[in-house]
Amino acid sequence: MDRTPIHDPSMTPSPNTIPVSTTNNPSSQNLSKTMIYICGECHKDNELKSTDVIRCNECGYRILYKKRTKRLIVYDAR
Amino acid sequence: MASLNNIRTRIKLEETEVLHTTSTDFPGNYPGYDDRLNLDEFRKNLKIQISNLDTTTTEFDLIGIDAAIANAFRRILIAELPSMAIEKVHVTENSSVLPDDVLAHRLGLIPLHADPRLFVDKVSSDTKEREDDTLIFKLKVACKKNPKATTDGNDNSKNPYINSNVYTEHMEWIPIGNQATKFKSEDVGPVSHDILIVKLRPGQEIDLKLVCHKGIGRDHAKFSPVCTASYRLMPEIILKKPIYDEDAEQLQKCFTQGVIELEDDNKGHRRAVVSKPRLDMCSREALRYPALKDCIELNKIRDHFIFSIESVGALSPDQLFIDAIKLVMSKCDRLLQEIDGNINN
Repeated sequence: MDRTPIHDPSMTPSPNTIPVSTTNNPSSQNLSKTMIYICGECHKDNELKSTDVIRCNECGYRILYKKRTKRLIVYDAR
Repeated sequence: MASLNNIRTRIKLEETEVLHTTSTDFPGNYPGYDDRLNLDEFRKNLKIQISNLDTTTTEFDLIGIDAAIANAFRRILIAELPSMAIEKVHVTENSSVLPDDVLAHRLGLIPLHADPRLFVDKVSSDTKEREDDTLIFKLKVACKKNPKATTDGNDNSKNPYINSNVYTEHMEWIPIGNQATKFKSEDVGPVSHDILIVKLRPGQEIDLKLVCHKGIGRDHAKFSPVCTASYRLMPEIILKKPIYDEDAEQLQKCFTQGVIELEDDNKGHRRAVVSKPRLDMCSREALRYPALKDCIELNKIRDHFIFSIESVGALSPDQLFIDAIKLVMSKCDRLLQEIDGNINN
C-alpha cells in the first residue's frame, strides 16, 4: 500500500486562493482553509471554508461530496 | 468367470442403480487374476488416442489407467499448473460506476497470454517489481463526447461517445528490465482483445496500473490454466438379442443421435446396430421401456477415460497435459526421496 501522509496538497486549492488576511495566523488559517467539494446536483466544484454554509455556489443544492483522493490506492485483484 | 471379469472391468448401469462403481482390481482380490503392479504390463496396456486437438481444446482417450491417476491429472490441470494473472491493481483514478474493488476483481479474472514457464514465483516479502516475476500493464482511458455524432438521432451508426466501452485491447503492456527484448509484444497481453472491462460516460475516466504475478489455481481460480479439464468413461452398449423395426426405432430414439443406427438385413427388416457408443451420454432412457429393457445391457468401461481439456489460451492443451504428467512425476520423485530418507535414518 501507498504510505504517503494523509494530508494531500493536491486536494486543497493553491495558496493564492486562500485569503491573504488569514495567512499571518496559523490557527485561523487552519480554520478557514478551503476544500473542494462537488455538488450532488450540478456536479460543479465548490471551494468551501469550514465557516461557509454547506451549499453549492451555483445551484444552491445542499448535498456536497468530497473529491476522490489523488493518492494511489492498491487493490488485490481477488 | 465372464461375470467376474465384468465386475472387474465394467460399471453396470441398471434402471435404478449403478453397480460396481469402485475399483476392485487390487492384488489378491480376485483368484485367477494377477493384479500385481507391473510396469511392463502397464506399458503394454496403456493407450492414448487423440481424437481432436487445436490451439485451445483437446479430446483424447486414455486407456488402461486407474481412475486415481486420471483424477490426479485432472486435479493438477485445474489447481496446480501455474499461469499468469493480474494480482495487484494500482488505482490512480476511477470515476466509473464500478467501485475500485469490484473493478480490480474483474481485472483479475482476465485471462492473460503469457508463458508462465518463463517467469518465477513472486516472493511475497519482495515488493519490488522484477523482470522475471512481474508483468505490468497500463490501463488509462477517458470517455468524451463524440463531436462528430449527430444529435438528431438520425445517424444511428455513430457512437455519441468516444471510449465509452473499455475493452482489454486498451491494456498497454509496459516492459520492465529486459522484457522488451525477451518478449515480443504479441507474446504478452490479454488472450482476447474484445473483453468488456467497464463502461464509461463523458467525464468519467480510469487510470490504472495492473501488476501480474505467477500463481496456481489452488490459490485462486484466476490462476487456473484451464477452463475445464474433465473426463468421462467410455460407454458400452450391448444388444443381447437382435432388435427389429419399431422396437429398433424406439431404441434409436432413446440414445443420443448417432449412437444406434438402423441397417437393412436381407429379409426386409431393419435391425438396430450400435454404431458410435462414444457419443452416448448415458441417460438410461432405454431401460424405461419393458420391450427394450431385457434386450440391452448398458455398461461403462472402467479404465477407458475420454479426457477433455479446454485451455484458457496461454498454453496449448497438449502442452498443459504434458506439464501435468511432469508434475505427477516430480511428486512421485519427492515421495520416493522421503521414503529413502526415512529408511536411511
